[in-house]
Amino acid sequence: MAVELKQIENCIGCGSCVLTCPCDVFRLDEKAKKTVIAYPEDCQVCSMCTIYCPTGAIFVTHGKITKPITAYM
Amino acid sequence: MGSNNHSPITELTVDVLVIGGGMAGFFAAIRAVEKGQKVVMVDKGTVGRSGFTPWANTFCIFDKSQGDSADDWIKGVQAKGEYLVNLDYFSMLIEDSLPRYSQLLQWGIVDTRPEWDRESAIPSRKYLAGHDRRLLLPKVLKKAGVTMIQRVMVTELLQNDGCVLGAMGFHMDKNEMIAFHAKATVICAGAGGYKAPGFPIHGSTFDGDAMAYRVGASISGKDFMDFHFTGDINPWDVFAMQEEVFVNRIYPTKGPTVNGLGIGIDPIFKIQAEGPPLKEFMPEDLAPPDPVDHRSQGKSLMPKMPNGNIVMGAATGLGVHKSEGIWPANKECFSGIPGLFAAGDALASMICGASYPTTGMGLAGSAVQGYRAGEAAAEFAARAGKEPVSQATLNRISHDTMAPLNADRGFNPRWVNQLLLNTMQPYYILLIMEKRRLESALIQIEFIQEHIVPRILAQDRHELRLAHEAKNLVLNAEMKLRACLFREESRGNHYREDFPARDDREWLAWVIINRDSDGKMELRKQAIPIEWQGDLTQPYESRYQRRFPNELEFLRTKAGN
Repeated sequence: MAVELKQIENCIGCGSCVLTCPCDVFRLDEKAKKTVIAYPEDCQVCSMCTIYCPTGAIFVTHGKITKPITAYM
Repeated sequence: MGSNNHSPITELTVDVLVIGGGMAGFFAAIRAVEKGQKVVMVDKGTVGRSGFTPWANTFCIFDKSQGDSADDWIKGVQAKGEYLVNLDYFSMLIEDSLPRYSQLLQWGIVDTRPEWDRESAIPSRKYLAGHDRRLLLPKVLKKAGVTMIQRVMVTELLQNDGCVLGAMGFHMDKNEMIAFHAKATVICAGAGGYKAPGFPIHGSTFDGDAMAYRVGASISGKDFMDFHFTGDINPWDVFAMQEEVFVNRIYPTKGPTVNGLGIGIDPIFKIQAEGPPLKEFMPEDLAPPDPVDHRSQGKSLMPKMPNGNIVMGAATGLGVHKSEGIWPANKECFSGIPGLFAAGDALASMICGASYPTTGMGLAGSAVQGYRAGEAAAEFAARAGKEPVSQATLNRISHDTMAPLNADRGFNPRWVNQLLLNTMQPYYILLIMEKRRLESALIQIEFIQEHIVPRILAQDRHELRLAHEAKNLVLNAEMKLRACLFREESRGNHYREDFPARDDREWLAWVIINRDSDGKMELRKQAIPIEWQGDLTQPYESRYQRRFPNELEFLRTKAGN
């Protein structure tokens, strides 16, 4: 993985990560009031989301392992 | 996907539109508001957290009270930038860097605590203690009365009768296109890179250059390469690098000197000669910190070794900061197209010339140019009175922008980016260049341009952004390869194996790129004013102190013929 939600129970659905991510990786699940890592393959492992997460719910792990990129989806 | 997605068009009328919410856009908007204009800033991400500005850590200040001499700075930048520096814009930096820094200080965006020391590094939020530029930039803008529209990617400039009359883009979260009818538009959308696994600048994709080029503006500086190394384990993860302090604060720095630190492509020559990995990469000749002058230089601001193996090409595709982008037609950040201005990394202000002269010129350059561009745009807007573009034009742009979302089938935009990176990333394409290799890369890029870019598929609005980014990146790659083929010499961060020496007779010139009337890319030389060429009577080896491989042998053979 690249970016991970290690403590999803801490997520308060504030949307800070959605606004912070320069690569638009997150989306907010309005119903569950939780963030969703919608596009992990586009994470640039910069950790800015972690800096601005008020509850420490988001982590960025070493390395970036995502599904292979192919010509079509 | 597959359906015909007609997005409703919301229209906004403003005086000055600023595209991009980094340091250049910030000052452009602030100044235009001060001049009494109604200003809207649009950003494809969030103001203060997109582009390069969240990561910039140095701000170069000219300070007479610290004994700085304009003459010394100019001599330093000319030597390091190898006589391709635009001294009009460099003088702007000398004049305005301190006033802009003082403003940032007043807003708390920078602070005067002494230099950081690594031993006492503490978690960033606590350390920043209210001086976080990523949060303060939007706060100050809001207070000044600038309207910020975020998560809207601008895809096309509105043009009528040879004038730029605003821009149009799509919303990331809503089924909506937004048309900004503006009397003046300032592009502060930064530069970019091909999303190499390295610097955290994947959101910057030369969108400004690409839009400006399509409406006829001139582009320059694509023939010089950024050169940064990084570690291969989470290259710029602020926590993995334990450099949170380094990337979270902005430190004042001194200007360029003839013998001071410059950052060139030299380490690649070692790899070329001996093979990887690269072990020694830090320059040895750094000046020690000056205890009297609060501004740092060199060693005290170097991050520690990155994690893992050192790899090159941390920002493949990026040019030298401030040397690539929209070519200014005058000293006031004007693009040459009425209504269109640019500042920061989106402007080819050439304050660094062919190579980085020192740290801090990037962010300081963005601040001073943003301010001037905002002023020029405000003055233009106060006089302008063109009719807005027609509804038919807006509908046409909306249709074109949404095309990847409305396609039934097509290519994954991430795959297109991967093709681009595979073509451009190898060190023997953009760092150690040669005619046939550049041509072979260009053939690849032309194919991608012609056959793949028009058939990119987007399954949602996130991918629509990726699709437009890929389109802009591929255009940039074409500019880069053509400019590198065109410059048949070596200079600064441009090394041609087949022309391994500077050629002052032919190439004291910038390479200007335009779109011709048939839509083809056209390149020409623009000579450097004679008074900016430095001392041409100086012997070659003292005029140019950095050596390229095979350079002197090449010159000897040439002289022998």
